[in-house]
Amino acid sequence: MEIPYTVTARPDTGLWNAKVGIWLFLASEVMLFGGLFSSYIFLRLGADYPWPMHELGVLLGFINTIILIASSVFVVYAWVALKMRQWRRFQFWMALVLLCAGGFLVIKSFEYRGKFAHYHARLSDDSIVSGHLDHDLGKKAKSILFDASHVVLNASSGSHFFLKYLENRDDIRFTAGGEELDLDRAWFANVKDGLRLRTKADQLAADGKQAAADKIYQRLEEDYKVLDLFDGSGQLKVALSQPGKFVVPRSKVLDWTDDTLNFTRALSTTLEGKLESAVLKLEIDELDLREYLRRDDPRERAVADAEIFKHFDDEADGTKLLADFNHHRDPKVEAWEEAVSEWKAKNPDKVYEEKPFHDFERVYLKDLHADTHEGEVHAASGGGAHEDHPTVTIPFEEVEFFSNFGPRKNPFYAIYFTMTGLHGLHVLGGMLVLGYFMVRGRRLYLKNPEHMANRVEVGGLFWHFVDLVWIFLFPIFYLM
Amino acid sequence: MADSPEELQKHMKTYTIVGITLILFTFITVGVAEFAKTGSFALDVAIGLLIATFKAGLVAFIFMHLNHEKPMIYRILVFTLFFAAGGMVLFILALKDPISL
Repeated sequence: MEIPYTVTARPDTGLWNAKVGIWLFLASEVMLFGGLFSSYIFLRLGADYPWPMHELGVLLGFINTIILIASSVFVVYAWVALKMRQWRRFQFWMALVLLCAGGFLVIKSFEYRGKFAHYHARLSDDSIVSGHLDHDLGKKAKSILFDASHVVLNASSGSHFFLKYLENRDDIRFTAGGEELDLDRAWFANVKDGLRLRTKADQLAADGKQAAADKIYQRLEEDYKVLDLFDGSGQLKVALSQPGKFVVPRSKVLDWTDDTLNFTRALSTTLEGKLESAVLKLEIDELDLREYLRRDDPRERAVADAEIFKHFDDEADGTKLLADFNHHRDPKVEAWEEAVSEWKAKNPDKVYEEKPFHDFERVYLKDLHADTHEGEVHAASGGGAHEDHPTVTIPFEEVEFFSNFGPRKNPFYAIYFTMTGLHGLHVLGGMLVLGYFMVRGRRLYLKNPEHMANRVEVGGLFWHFVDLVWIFLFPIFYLM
Repeated sequence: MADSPEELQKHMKTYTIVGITLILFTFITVGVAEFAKTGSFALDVAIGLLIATFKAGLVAFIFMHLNHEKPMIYRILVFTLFFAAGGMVLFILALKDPISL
């Protein structure tokens, strides 16, 4: 079937069909990204915390902007080449477009990796530290270490994933009710299925369908003997032949005491034994006391009283930082503190909620990086230790919130990853389409070069739109 | 749109100039934001967005050929931009909290 109006204009619209199609599609894209930009405005205006500014690497964002602009120029060059019936030249420019797009994504992945390797902890008094995990400890630096003598399994969850947190798994034998157990995936899948079957059989028996129920009971007897080991509440206590050395990321732990540890509900398993340690070890690169000082009258909450200063491994590091804070206090800070105190005196019943995001407030934000962005790339490439950075050891019970600089850190990172991630997917989609034209387009080109040129124009329009979105994303996330 | 080789060559030149202008304005955006702050945050944001809008305009009008399109495309875009712009000012509804007295 011949598709009409691929080259010639339709009389009523005055356009070839694909042109109308792509503009309608781009209109829907404008609404999609428009909705997200609108969300950004909402989140930023409604933020109840200092909006992160200059936290993203400007250099990388800048390079990516240049790359996308260059690719936009190359894509129109490619289109002109087709219009001039120069296939090889078209391929050359298109290859450059794809190279740029690939470069953009590689740089973006470096940025993302840097964010995911960078951590942030808010203490119970709202003092905040950021940094990288202790280099020597690696993941142990954000984990709870527990020596387990028993594991209480919950069959209804069918989970065996806790085993991946057991360091000396190969040395340990598991027993329950005098029987040795093989805690592999299949065994647990069976338990889960078995419990479901047993419930079904019980239901059938209750409904008077005894024959059908017996059939299932018989099957359970033959294939699911392990079920008998579970007690009435669907739990099974398993003994370990020697203490199991568990290293469990804090994010996988619901709660813990000195002799028990509960995994999150999804894992639904409890360890019994002895808690070894539950501390967070960070090599810090930023100390943020703005939230800490905002809660109360600044004059009643001295910088020196912030919890974080109790947790420096080397006390001298904390003392030096404190001295830096005091050294950099300037008259504007004093004036602000004075103003807040007066406000509080006049409004004793109200909670102080003004958002003092003025520049001088950055005094309370201490960046320990010579160059934050260089540090991010450094971390992303799995580089060496930050020897010059102070280290802190914070008990997890004093950590109110802990995460990496991923989407869950705060709404800024949520909207940053949403918008740049969606944009990145558009780059990838554009690459696929334009790459297809470059590699597989020759047949159509030979048959109907103008049709091919129109296809490239449509692909190019999409590509320009992707560039256009980035032109706004760059300043709002990286510069302001 | 004229498709003669001479015309197309002329377009190539335009695209190159626009590309260079865009890169130049990217330098200006970063330069203003990093090294030439006005002192007023609102003004800094306005300048940044103004430059971005200018750059976006260049891409839309020159690269995407909106400087000489058929009326139907403009109709689609006016309709879309009306609603997109509406979305940008929705936050005004949130400024007045209906619950507080």
